[in-house]
Amino acid sequence: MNNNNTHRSRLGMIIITIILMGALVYLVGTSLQKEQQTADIANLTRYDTPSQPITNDPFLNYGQQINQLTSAPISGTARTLDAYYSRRAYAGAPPIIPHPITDAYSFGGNTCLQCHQNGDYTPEFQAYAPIVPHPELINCRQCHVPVTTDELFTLIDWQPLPHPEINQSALPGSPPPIPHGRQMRDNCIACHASPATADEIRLTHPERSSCLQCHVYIETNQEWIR
Amino acid sequence: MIVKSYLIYPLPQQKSSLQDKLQQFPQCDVIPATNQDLLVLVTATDNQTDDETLYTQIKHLPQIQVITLISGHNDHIIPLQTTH
Amino acid sequence: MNQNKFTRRDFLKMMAASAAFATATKIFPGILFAQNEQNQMLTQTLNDANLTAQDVAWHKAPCRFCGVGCGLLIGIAEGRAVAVKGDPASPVNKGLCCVKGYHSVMALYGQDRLTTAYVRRDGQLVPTSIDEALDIVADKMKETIQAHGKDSVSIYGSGQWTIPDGYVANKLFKGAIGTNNVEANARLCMASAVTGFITSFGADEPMGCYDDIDYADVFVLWGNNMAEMHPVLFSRMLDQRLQRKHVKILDIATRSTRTSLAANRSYIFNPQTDLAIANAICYEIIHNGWTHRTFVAKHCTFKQGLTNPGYGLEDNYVFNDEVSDISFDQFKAYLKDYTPEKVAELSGISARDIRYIASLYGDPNLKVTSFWCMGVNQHTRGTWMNNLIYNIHLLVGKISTPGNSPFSLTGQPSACGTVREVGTLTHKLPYGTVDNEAARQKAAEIWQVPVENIPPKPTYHTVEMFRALDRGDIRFMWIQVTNPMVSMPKLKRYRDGSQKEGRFIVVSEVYPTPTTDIADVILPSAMWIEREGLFGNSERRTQHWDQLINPPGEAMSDTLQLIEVARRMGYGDLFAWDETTHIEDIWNEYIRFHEGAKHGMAPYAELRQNPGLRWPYVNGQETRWRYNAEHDPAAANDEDNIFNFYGKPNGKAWIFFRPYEPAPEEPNEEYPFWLCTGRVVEHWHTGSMTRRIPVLHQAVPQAYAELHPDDAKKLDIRHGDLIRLVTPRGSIEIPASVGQRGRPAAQQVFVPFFDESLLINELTLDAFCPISKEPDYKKCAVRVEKV
Repeated sequence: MNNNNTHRSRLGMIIITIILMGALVYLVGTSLQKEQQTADIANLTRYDTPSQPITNDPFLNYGQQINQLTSAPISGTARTLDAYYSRRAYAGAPPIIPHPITDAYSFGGNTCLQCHQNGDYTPEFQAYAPIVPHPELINCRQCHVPVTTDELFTLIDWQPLPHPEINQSALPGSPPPIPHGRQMRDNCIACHASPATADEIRLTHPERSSCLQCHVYIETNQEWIR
Repeated sequence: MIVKSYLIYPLPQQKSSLQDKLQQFPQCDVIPATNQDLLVLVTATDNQTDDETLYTQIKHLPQIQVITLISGHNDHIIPLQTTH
Repeated sequence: MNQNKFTRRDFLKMMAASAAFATATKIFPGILFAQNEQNQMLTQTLNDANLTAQDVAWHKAPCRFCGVGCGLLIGIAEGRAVAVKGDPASPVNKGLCCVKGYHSVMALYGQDRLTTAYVRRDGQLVPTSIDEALDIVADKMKETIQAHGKDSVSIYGSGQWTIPDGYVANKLFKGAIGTNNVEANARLCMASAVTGFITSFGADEPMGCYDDIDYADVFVLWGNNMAEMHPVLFSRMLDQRLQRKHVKILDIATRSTRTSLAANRSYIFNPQTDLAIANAICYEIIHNGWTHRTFVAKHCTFKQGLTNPGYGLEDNYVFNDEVSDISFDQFKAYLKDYTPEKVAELSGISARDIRYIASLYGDPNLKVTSFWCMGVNQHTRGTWMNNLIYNIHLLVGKISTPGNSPFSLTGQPSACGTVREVGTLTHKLPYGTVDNEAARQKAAEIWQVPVENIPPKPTYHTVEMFRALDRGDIRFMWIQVTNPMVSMPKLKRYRDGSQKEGRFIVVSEVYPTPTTDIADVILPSAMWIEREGLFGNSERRTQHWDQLINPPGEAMSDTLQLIEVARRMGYGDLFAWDETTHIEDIWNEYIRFHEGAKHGMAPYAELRQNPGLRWPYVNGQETRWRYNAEHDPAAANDEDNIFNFYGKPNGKAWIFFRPYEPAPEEPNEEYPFWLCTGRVVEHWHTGSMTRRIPVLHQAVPQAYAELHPDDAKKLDIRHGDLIRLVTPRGSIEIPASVGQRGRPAAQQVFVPFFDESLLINELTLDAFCPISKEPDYKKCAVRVEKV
């Protein structure tokens, strides 16, 4: 009798354990699946082949990582187009890093992108961080380097490709064409409608998302001759 | 460091005297146009206060007809050896 | 340097003024501004203000810097290079460059470009016309040969030579003059990779290619800070990891870097113990039964060489390896000393970690690619270390198939194309080695010289060549496209030697450097896109570029300098190419050496049109995986085997037993730290080009010594403090760097070598690998003192 009881309670324990384990497996399984799903969704919005030239419509990248779309000037230290240009050696060059780097022993995804992926307000610089149009490339300092001295090693006789003229509309009021190349800069929103955008190039209509519908790249300055 | 550039229209016949005046400021570089009554002024100062003081001094020079700011740069450049 | 200090302040003022000019031009079209020296640069910008992005013509060229060989598009307007884009058509970089590539064209425009020749007269370098300077070089060479024999003249180039430069140098010295005194900086850079390939496979250069990155599941980086040194390939790896979540990057290194931070796992080992770690991985593979038995039985054979060969520290050092057969069981028995436990104690990597790395290599479902560069090559046992990595891949059969690749990276743009393929090393000819009679016959026939002209014995490898210059065995040295007075180890001896009485040094350069400081004649060179040329990158890709702009002043390409001197020495018939077509003519002559399925090169017309093509180029097709019959026509065989290592007589690759041996100089009581030297992403080689690029110089203006934070604390050194580094060879005072981009292990110091005013090579040791003769810049003992 006593024996039987012990057996029964042991059996009960075993059954409970099995049920608990089953529940655990189910929970872990579904949560993993969920994670997988969100990962897949995240993947969808990223470029498939990021280091390739992107020729698809910027529409696809519309506002993917931007917290705050804006057509209005934003508080904090505003930047001018000239300020952005002064950070590039020629039109289209990767900009330098104009601010001190707090943790040099680090890798892009853990530091730079903390501010530059979403373009949040950084109290330290009293400004919004410009948004990187290619957040999938995380070896940031492959192309972007800081400035640690004023001096040059030698004088240089450098004549850069000038920055393009903006607002080259063909008719008054017609949509201006895109005067710069598309390489690494196919996410229009990142630079034209974020809080850190310079006034001169700020988008007036961020609610319209198919940029290439009205704005075309200037590929040549030659006229068509039949 | 603050670097700014201005276009200055001098009063008639005052271009060269204005140029001399401006060149007396060590923070100023002046490049006169040779075929127009126009001067390009570039100023470089160490901080906001200096910049404001300088601008006030220049603004009150009697030879100036119009002065317009063209571009400005104010940087947060860090001292040497902060980081590599 | 100080007299022409152009500060950032000046630069900003220039930018501000040009904005004002542009505005003024809009208000008063045709306005002119006063010109004086100070604002000449400013008004120049004004005159170009009408230039728009659409006026720029874009032309392809491979990048001037490292061995990755990125395709660039260079923007040319009004005869000047004004911008750079990554070439989307290039399969190497797919449109992405690094900071050096994007700013590379600025290196053409430093204001101290050499535009005229200089000749030393009464101790002073005096500007001279290039014709006269070339006369002097030719006369001096003839005179030296007459007085001291053929082997008293030499040429020292580099992997920055274009293919035609190296070819003409080789033909002039080995074919026409008749001396094997031809060497290149590549000896200091990838000679161990060459001897590694030759000893294991019998043929140089990687079997795989960069396409492996798109297939591999695991990347193992051996002593290779790829995030900074080969950033474009590193980004391709990161890209793969983003797309395929299971992809792993393992970093095995002596110092913690950006690569370690980005890697899935980082393992820090004690210097020199990589030899033991690789053997322990082999031990684990064999003892867990992960060996690919059929592959090993069919395609591999086991060998051993001599041990304790020394370190080449003495002059006239000679070592000839003797290779003998061993059985698999003997190989297995030798590995008994390399159990993970024993190696853990020696290397500092735990046995568990070693087992984990081995398990990835051993897992038959994972494709593994290993990358390495200077950490493995600049090693007193560099050839052995290369052999050991091949051992791992051969044991598990992970080689010559997509994603399975032991891949040796290079540091110079044409280390492969020029030095290895053209053979600008003392023992090499474009095809084969000088001690092989058939190879000499072939060279004599193509060069149209008597076969007796080509001496059958190699002379001096690089370190020994500079020792011979010091001793007086060599009297004349022509240095092109490299900067040995910054890059040689134990620098003082070789600098003093080159300045001894009766030595004559000719330097072809684009900028003043510590090497031009010791020159008797300086020849101004046309650089990169100022002439037509070809480079060959790490993945056997040959890339052509057209001349895009004119060289400044009297600057002349290295190819033409060599041809002009050859003509003045009376060898005009051998170099009778027309100036307009000489690059094409040279290419057509050169590729006769490589005809056939094993090394066929693409025709000139194809190269002009494509963003580079990989050899063997057979029947209009590139070869991506050599030794694999499915991809490589030369590997086809009667037995229907997929693999055929045709570099070796029986088609079998050699698995070498290579033991661990200590470094020649290890930390001791007097010199308690390890000293390691290397690079940073911003600067390339000795910095003579990159330091003249404002963006790069302003990011890293000077060298520094990285210390571990604990060591710094112990010695009371803070970031930026001046410290003194001392070895028996010399000492320098240099700012300390603590908690910055790299973190050496405790009791180690890392110093980049690009800075000509903080010459770390005054301290390094000239010990080298006995087989490859490549010096070890990564290990010597040093004392750290607070100043």
